[in-house]
Amino acid sequence: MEKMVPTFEVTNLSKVYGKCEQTKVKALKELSFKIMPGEFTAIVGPSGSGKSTLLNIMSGLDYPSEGMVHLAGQDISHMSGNELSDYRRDHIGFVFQAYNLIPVLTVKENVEYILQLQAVNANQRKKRVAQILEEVGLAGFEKRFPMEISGGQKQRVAVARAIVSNPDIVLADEPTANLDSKTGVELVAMMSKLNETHGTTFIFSTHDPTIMERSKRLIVLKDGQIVKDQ
Amino acid sequence: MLLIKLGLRNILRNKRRTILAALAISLGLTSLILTDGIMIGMSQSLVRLVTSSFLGHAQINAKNYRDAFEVDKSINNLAATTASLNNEKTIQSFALRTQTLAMLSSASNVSNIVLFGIQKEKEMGISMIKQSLLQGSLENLSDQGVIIGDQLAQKMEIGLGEKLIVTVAQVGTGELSQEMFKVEGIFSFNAKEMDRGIAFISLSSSQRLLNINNRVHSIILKFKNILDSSNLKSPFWKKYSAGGNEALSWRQISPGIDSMIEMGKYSTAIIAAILFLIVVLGIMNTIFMSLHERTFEFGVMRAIGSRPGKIILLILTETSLLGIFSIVIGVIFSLFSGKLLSMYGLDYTGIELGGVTMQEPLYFVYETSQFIIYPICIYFFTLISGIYPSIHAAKITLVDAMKKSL
Repeated sequence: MEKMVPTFEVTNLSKVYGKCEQTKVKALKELSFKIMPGEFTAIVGPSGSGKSTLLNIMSGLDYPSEGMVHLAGQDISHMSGNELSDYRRDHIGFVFQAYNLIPVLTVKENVEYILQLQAVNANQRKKRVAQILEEVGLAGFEKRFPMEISGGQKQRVAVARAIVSNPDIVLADEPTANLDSKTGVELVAMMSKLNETHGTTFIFSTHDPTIMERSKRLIVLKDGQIVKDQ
Repeated sequence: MLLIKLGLRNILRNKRRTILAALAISLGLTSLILTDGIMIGMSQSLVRLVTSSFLGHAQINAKNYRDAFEVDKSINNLAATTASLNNEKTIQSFALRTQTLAMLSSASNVSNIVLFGIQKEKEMGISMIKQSLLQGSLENLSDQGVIIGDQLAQKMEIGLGEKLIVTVAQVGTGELSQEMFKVEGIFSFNAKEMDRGIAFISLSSSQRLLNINNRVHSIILKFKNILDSSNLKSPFWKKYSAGGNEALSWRQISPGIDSMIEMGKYSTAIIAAILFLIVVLGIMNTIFMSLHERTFEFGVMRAIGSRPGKIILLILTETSLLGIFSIVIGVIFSLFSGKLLSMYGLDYTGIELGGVTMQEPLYFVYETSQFIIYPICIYFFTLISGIYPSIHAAKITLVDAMKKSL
C-alpha cells in the first residue's frame, strides 16, 4: 500500500520574538505535527497561546526561529520572498477574520484575482469563478463590490477566493469571529461541505465551538506548546 | 489590464484627494508653461524694442568705431559693402547713418546731444523714428530740417517750426561747423536717454556739416528673420568683419539685453526645478497617505500571492495614471490661460527692464515644445516620485501589515 504524504509537516518548530534575554518571548516551543490531505483541523487555545504565530509561519508570512515546515514535501522555512509569494499563490488559500477583500474589485474580480496571478486563461477563469460562486451561494452577486454585500457574503467571497485555485490547504484565521452565530454556522457548514466534496484541507485558528464541533481534529495550544492533539 | 483597472479604481476611490493632487500637478505644469511662454514673450519684446526702435538687427562700422564713436572712423569700402549687402538673401533692408556729438542752441538754452544723419526713406523700413513722431513727419524732413525728442524740445523751450543752431566739429580739421535747422519733427521713444539726448538730420546735411563727403559711420541692417541676426556663428559676421570694418549683431551691441535674456532662460530652469521638486514631494506625500491607508490591503495582496514587483507595478501604474490625468488638465489650463495671456498680456508698459522701457504688454508666446517637453518632464517626475513609496510598500513586513488578521 502506498504511504500517504502529509500536506503539512511541522518539525521542531520554534519562534522567538525579541533579541534581548530579558525581553525574549518564546511564542512557539518545538512543535511537531503533521496535517494529512483532506483534514478539517482546528487549532484552538487561549489568546497568546501561539495560534496566529503558528498559522503565520505555516502560510509563509513569517519565518520560524528554528525547525522546519514542509508543504507537500517542500521546505518553506528557507524560501526567498518571491518563492514564498509563488508558494502562497499556488498552494495556500487564505480566509481572514476581517474578510480582507480588495475593495476596488467586484466579487467576481476578487475571486478571479488569484487566477490572474497564476496566468490562467480568461475562459478557464470565467468558468472556474462562475462554478465556485455557485458553490458558495453567490451566483448573481458577481458585479457587486465588497461594500455592497453583507459580512456573511463577504466571508463567502473570501472562501471562494481561497479555494478557486484548488490549493493544497486553506488556512482560516477566526473566520466566524465577525459573523453572527447563524451566518457563522452556515459558513462552517459550507466549508465542511467543500472539504467533503473537494477533499480540500482546512486548518482553522478558532474559538468558535461550531468549528470545533465540525472539526475532525483538534490541536490545542497553550503557551506555545501542543497540550492536546485529538 | 488588471493593473490598469486596479490603478484606475484606486486613484478614484478617494476622489477629493486625487483631484487635489492632480490640481497641484496640473497647476505646476501650467505655471511652468506660462513662465516659459512669458519669458519667451519678454525676450522677443525686448529684442523687438531694442532692435526695431533704432538699433537695428545688426550694424556694420569701421573696426573699433564703437569703442569711442570717433567721427573720423568711417566705413571702409562703402560702395563694395553696400553692393554686397544688396545681394544678401538674409537681409531685408539696410540704411546708412552718420553719428557725431553736437551742440544744439536755441534762443533760451544749449544742449549737448548725439546727432544722427539718416536716410529718411530707408529708416522707415528699419527704425521706429516715423512711428515715434508726436509732431511733424519723417517723409517731409528737408535738408535744413531736424527732428528732436520731446524732452529735448522741452529743455530747449522750442517747438515745431522753430529754429535752432547745430554746431559740430568737422572731421579732419576739427574746426567748428554751424548751421541753422528748423524743427520739423518731435519724437518720443519713451526712453529718456533718447528723448533728451539725440536728434536727427538728413544724411546729406550731416555729411556736409562734418565735411566727410559721402562717407558714413554705420550701416544699419534689418534681417528677414531676426533669428539670423542672433546667430553669432553665422558666416555673415566674418564676411562683413573684413577690410577694416566689423559687423556686429544686436547681441554684441546690446550685451545687457542678451545677458538678460540668457538670465531669463536660467530663471525658467530654476523655476522649473523648484516646481518639479514641489510636484515630486506633493505626489510622494499623496502616495504615502494612500499607502498608509492601504497597508493592510497590500498585505493581503502579498499574502495571497502577489510578488513585491507586482505591488511596485501597481503603485507606479497609479502614479502614472495620476500623472496622465494631471497632464491633461494642465495642458487644458495652459492652453486656456496661455490664450488669454497671448491676447491681453501682462501690462509692463513703462517699466524699465535692462535699461529698456517696455512699451507693450508682455505676451505669452506658444511653442509646441512647451506642450511636449514639460508634460514629458512632469510625467517622468511623477513616475520618479512613485518609485520610493512603491518600494516601501513592496517591502512591508507581512506579519506587521496583517497584524489584525493572520
